[in-house]
Amino acid sequence: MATAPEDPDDEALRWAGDEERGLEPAFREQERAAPTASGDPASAAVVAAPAGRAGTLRRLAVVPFLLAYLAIAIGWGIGVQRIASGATDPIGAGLWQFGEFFAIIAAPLWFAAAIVGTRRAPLLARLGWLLLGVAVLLPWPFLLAVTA
Amino acid sequence: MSAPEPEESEIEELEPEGPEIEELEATPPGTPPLWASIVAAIVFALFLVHPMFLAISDLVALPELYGILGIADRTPWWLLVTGIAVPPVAYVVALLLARRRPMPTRVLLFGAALGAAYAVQLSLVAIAGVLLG
Repeated sequence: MATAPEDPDDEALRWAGDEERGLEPAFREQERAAPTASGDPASAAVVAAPAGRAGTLRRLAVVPFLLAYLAIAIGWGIGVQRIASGATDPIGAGLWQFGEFFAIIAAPLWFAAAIVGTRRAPLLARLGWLLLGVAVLLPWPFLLAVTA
Repeated sequence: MSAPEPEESEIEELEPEGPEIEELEATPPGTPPLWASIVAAIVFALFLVHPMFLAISDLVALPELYGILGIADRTPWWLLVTGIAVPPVAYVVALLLARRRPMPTRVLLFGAALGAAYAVQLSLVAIAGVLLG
């Protein structure tokens, strides 16, 4: 059972739909309470974190990208089976499989990196990085096989 | 003959002011030590050697293949150049974004760069296959 994150830094670890399961109020309450708990710099970061409607918008804006990145990862999972390495040696074949694995997990990695990396950045910057990821990580092996 | 001793007031002027140095040396909490940053950067640079090697192999082999097939004029140079450019560009961008961030975030950024490099590389292989017919 997921619990409410201890600080906004854990925002990236939250799942879409947490609000519907009643986790949102506890999370917001913690955001409000944290700045008064201490006067250290970490509290200042909490103050800077988005709250209220802006915070909700910030989270909701990411949901379509979450679905898109999930679709991309699935597309890569199918797509890598349609291309062959041509490597005859075991090292080459192993490295190719390593590359295929990273191509599959590229989408979740990029999504997580974009969320964590733009934690205190404007919403547009976060969406920009997510949009760039969609463009870069399009699963062409899958798309070309489907459209052929 | 010796140089005249500086007066006490001059010594005070030459002494570095503490707060400015503290500001310069201040790093965000959680920033890893320099050696850990260097090790992470080197490890992921080594990981990116393979997609770079794949791109160089394609750059050498594909024009030859197109030449043998008699379609050398249709060699997709833009694909080959993109394949060469993506791994170092992804690495440099990750390196720049990873500055002053904690180690888990750095690993995440480098991992995303590595994944992107491989994804682009495999995409180019698939697109080259389609162009070849």
